[in-house]
Amino acid sequence: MAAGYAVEFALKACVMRREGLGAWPAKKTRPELYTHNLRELFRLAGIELGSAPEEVRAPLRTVLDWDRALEYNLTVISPAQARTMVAAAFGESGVVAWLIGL
Amino acid sequence: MERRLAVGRDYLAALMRLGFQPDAAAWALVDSETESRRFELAIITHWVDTIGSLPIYELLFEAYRSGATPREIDPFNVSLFSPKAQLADDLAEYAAQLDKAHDPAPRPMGASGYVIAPSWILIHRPAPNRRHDDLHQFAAFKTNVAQLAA
Repeated sequence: MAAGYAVEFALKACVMRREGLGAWPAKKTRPELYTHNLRELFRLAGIELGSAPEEVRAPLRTVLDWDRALEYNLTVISPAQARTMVAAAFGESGVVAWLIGL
Repeated sequence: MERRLAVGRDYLAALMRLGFQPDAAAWALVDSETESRRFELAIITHWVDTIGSLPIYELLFEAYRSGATPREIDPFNVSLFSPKAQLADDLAEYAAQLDKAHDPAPRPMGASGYVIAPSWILIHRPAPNRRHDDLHQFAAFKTNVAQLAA
């Protein structure tokens, strides 16, 4: 589920841009930044979910279901679900393209 | 909470009128340890496996924009889960105990981080996974939502 990681890293880049950071802070100084929770990262990046353009909302809602714990879950994700997660992250109206363009 | 439950039932009824029949649904308290703490309407549907969640969310947003679902429930606060998800198993186990539930207090569902009380379960009726029916029923749901916008 690399699609989720792509959104996580794009959001962390947004945090760096917002705060003018040249490097990712150490965990002991900014522990709150050490999260994989995408909703938390949107909040930390100062991006309101409701600010997403209409065409990005469903992709955004889709990627928010990504959970890093999926990596440790033996339940197989269906091909249909895997395809839609990739489309939601990397599609033309996907979340990564939207975040890069902000 | 009573208001939330009523609106949740209205939301699910609206979806069913449009042709979407969830396997299970419940209000859940999510991310309760963080500043993103919120209530989500968790919907279990085997469409997640056969269709994928993106096309379903697209229709949920479209139905919301068209006013066919209650304004109180933004699709950002609706979560779709496969029946194979741990939350679905936990919810099924919880629902089976409802008649003899002695503790009505909300409790965490396994490792999902979702906190649910028995009374927050709005629907629970696991359905067989029949791919042909799913594609047909999803197409009908899509047509019905498209007609709202027309």
